[in-house]
Amino acid sequence: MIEVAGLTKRYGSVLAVDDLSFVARPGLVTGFLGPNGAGKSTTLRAILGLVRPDSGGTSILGRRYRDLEAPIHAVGAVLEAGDAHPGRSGRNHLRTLATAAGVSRGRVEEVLELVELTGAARRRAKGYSLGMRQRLGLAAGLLGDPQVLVLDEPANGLDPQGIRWLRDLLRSLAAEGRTVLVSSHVLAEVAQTVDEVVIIRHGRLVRHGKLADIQALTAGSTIVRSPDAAKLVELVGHADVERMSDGRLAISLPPERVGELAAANGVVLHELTVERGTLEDVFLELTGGDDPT
Amino acid sequence: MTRLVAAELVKFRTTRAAMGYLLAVLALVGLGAAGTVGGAKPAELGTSGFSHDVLSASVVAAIVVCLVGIISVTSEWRHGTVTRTFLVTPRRVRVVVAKELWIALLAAFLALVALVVAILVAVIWLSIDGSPSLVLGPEHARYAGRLVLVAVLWGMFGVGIGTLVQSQTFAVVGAVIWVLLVENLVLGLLTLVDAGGIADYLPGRALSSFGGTEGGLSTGAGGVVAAGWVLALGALGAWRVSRQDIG
Repeated sequence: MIEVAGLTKRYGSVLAVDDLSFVARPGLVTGFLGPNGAGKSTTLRAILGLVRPDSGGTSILGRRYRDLEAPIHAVGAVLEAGDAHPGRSGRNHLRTLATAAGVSRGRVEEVLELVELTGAARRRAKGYSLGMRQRLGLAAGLLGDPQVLVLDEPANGLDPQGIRWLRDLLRSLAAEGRTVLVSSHVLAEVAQTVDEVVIIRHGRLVRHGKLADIQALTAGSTIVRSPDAAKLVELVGHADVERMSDGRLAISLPPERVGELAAANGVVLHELTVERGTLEDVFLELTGGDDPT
Repeated sequence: MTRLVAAELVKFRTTRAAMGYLLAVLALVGLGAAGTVGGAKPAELGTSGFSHDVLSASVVAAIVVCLVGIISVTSEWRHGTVTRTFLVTPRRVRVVVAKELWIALLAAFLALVALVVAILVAVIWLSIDGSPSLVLGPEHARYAGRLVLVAVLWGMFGVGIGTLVQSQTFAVVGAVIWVLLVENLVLGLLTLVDAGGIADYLPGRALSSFGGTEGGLSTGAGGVVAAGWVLALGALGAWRVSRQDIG
């Protein structure tokens, strides 16, 4: 479990994180979203003991990061692509970390295999593509077989296959009971991967909840197909109605209200479905339209 | 701590720079020793003082080790590996201590290699030349030991500078300017007011006193002052690193 409690961090006159609190729980993938400069990276770095909070604090498995007995076995972190020395091979990069952490060389080979980098393990890191550097970062994060994973934009540079692979990996890690906290700007990907979402803006918490609950926050539309569409349009009064290209109507009323109106007035319905807002809709609504990066 | 020192060894030997440093020591010491033998007057050959001069050629290893010390720290910032290093070892002072210990070991090794190279070059040259061979006694062994310690202190001094400055360019250029220019400038200015002795307590001159090349302090006092500088820089660097935000 990751706990952030009243975290505040200021850089000079810039308030990067402002009294932020949330919890990422085991067995779930928690998405950490916010516009550019919202304080996501600062928060993740504070969780990992790289940034000193001005007030408040963070804990992982009930302890501050620096107080963990064996951090690499408790927490796997992927913060930036390219945290390997460019002149060192991928395998040797992992070996330096494994040596410092007391992890076996066999485990180095396992994680190279896991992230599908075995074939490129002898190449120097400066020859790696962005996607390969991301995979190497993931390998480093998984070296200690940690219970908690903290990932900052791990999908950057991955091709569609790689993104799907990452999604499956994160889901399987969470299914094993691990805590996964992942920031991302690819909202469509997040929507397919996460169970819960934490949205911040200007360093403050905007919303934290289950993905489905967050998506339900947007009004969405009720989609109706009816042979008596014109009458239905009259019945819904001043609600917004949009006639779709296939003849269906998108009505900005709850489905219960549309169904009741139709039944009470004898309007035949061939379809009554709900179209929820996407995570992107919710995000833009909650963050005032800032770019989700 | 053993694991962290071992990790520094893995870091060092898994980049091509390691071989470059070793070759630099071999080449510079070899040339220095050859220059000493070639430039010696016939009357000097076979004397204790000449052997002393040959051993002195190995002191270049200390300069190389100082650079390695600086780069071993600053490259962590330059290449962004410092983030991963502190994720594995969040108690950052331990990382600084490990780097100090590692550079001390490397410095001792390179200084010994340099001494062997200097002696070999001189012995081979003198035997080909048919000149009196090198005279080596207990005093030379003591001097060689001191040269090893000089290299160790220079290496640790480098780690301290690197930890404190962190920018590779500023640290390397700053260290060179300090030793070659600033200390001599300070010495010159202080000598004008009859206080030149104070300059002997500057790090470079204290190390020179300890190594017996120049400086106005006794060998022992030079060693103590130099060790004090190493400790002070290391402590300041560790304090800075332990408090700063990474990234």
